[in-house]
Amino acid sequence: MADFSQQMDAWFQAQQQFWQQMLTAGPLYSATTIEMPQLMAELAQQLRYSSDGFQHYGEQLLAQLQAGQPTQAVLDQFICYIQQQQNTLIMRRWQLPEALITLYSQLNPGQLSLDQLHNAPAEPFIQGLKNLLSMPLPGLSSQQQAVLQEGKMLLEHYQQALNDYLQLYNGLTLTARDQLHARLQQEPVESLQALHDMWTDCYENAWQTLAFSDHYQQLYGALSNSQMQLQQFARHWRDSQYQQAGLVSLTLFDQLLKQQATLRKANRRQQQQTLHLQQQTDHLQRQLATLHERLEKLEGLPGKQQQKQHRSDQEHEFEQEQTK
Amino acid sequence: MNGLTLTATNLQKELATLRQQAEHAQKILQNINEVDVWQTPKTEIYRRDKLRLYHCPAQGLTKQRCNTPLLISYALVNRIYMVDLEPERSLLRRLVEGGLEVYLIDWGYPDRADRFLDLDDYINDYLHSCVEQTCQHAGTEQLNLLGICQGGVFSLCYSALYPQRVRNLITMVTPVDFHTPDNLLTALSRYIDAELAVDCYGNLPGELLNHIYASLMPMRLGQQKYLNLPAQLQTQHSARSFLRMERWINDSPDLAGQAFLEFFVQFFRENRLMNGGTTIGGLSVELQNITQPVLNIYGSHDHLVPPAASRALENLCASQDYKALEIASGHIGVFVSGKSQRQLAPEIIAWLNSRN
Repeated sequence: MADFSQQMDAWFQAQQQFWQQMLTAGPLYSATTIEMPQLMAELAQQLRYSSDGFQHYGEQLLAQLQAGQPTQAVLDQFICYIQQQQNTLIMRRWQLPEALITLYSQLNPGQLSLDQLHNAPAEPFIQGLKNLLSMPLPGLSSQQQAVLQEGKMLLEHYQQALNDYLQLYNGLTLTARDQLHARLQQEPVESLQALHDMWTDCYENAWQTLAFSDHYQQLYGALSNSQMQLQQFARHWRDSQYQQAGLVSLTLFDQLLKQQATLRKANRRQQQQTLHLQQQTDHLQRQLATLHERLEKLEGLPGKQQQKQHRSDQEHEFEQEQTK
Repeated sequence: MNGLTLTATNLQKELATLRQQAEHAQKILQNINEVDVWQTPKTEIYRRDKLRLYHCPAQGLTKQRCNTPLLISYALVNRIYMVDLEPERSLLRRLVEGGLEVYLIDWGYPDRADRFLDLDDYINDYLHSCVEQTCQHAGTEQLNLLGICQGGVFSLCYSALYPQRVRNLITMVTPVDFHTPDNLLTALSRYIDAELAVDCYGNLPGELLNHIYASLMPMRLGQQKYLNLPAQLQTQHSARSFLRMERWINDSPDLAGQAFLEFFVQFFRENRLMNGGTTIGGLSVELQNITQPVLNIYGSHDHLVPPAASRALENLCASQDYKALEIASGHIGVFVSGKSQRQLAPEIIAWLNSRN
């Protein structure tokens, strides 16, 4: 019993951490408002990172130039440096959400730590996850094992999509390099900055051509969808755990929100109808008042007054006869 | 390889300059604690859920003053203060200085509870309420409506559904034909499973949308931008300008899931403004109902909403008083570039005054 209690405590603690992470920040999709100190810190970091990197590369290049190396080697090194930078940005964009990594690592913390996963290059990291998911985990039912196998399959899709995408980007770099070579035949470049500007033009040009191709769009869609499927998988897994523990899952919460939205809409329509009816009633009342006024005016006319008097006399005579 | 004439001496000088600039930029950044945006005086006149409606009264003495209030509806995915980034780069300030009574819708930041807000809620409820509140506040039956980007699409739908409330319609950098061959955003979204995205995220994260926008020019808005940072942060003034823009770029509200899905399906996927069949809350949107004067403003270098995507409006609405205005800038430059500051607001003011 004590074991079960400890296990439950540990499980709740893990879930609490996971939810905290989900609520506070994934690596990319976090809070909506931006705090200036945070923005400043990020900018300062980015400034340092790019300046230091460029400076470091520039110094290497300087040594090469001083050693009298041919310009082709200089250029190749430049493109290699730029490609590394670009790959870092791409990997950052397409990395798995931290919350997802947490979930997987929680399944067997002894084998795969979060830090290891973050610091590992993409392929070993995913390979590690796949290995983990391939093993039967103690304490899990066959149904849960099947779910993990589904997770493994989704990971494989994601890995394939990521590899295909990176390959396409490598091809893009080669195209941009060819364009850079061609332009360098025609335009002089005397500074590293100018070389970078020219490279940017060539790269964007090659990128535009690539991005409008059906092939790229398919790979982009496949990578986006596979990343989202993994997140969806993690959510469904979490939801099932919550439901088993008798807690409200995100899916149930969404159902409640949907019902609330439907009720809210119905309420708005009823309010509009009430307002419309009120306006109609006001309109009818105004019409009635106008008619009443006109009637009174008509009754005030001489002919009408005589008729009215005659009617009144008749009523009076009738009342007297009744009394007799 | 004839063109590469990089010498060790030049490179040494260049690296020294870069180092100095980077160090100086770090110092400049350290001395700025915050940057202020949205400085034109405003008063909140209405609030509903997360939405706020602000009034910016006309300033100064002008010969001609427009009696009809101007309501500005911005996109859901960014904040309205793009029109008032800083005093020198403020469309809003130029408009109120020109004698216009301006009202601004701030859609706020949707959270999980807003996941099922749809276009019906945004247009038939929120926008309609803002129109009524604006007219009531200004004491008029009608208003002038200015819609920007996605807010322009909302304004088109609204004007078609409630034509009697809109005296003049202005659309800015507004996509109408989502399937022009140069629309990269549509091209990249072709194989995206939007239903999966909503199921996965609930609301579309603003940060994800920012990544998608940045990916439209990956090198220019990535490495190149950061490499140019030191040069842009050399004075307090230029640094503040840069930081205001950065603040705006990073201040991206999430997009309510259901509203995103409807917008994606009706416009990006099915291009219904062109093909017909747009419905908002069950009401059919007929652009032919737009008979009031229309001023359609677009940027000639807009990479998010290509000019052809905006220009398509001319053949769809029934206005006999249609004018297209091309600004020589990109999507954001339409509001903030120096040239647009001199051109845009005066054009809008003159156009509205002549149709007052």
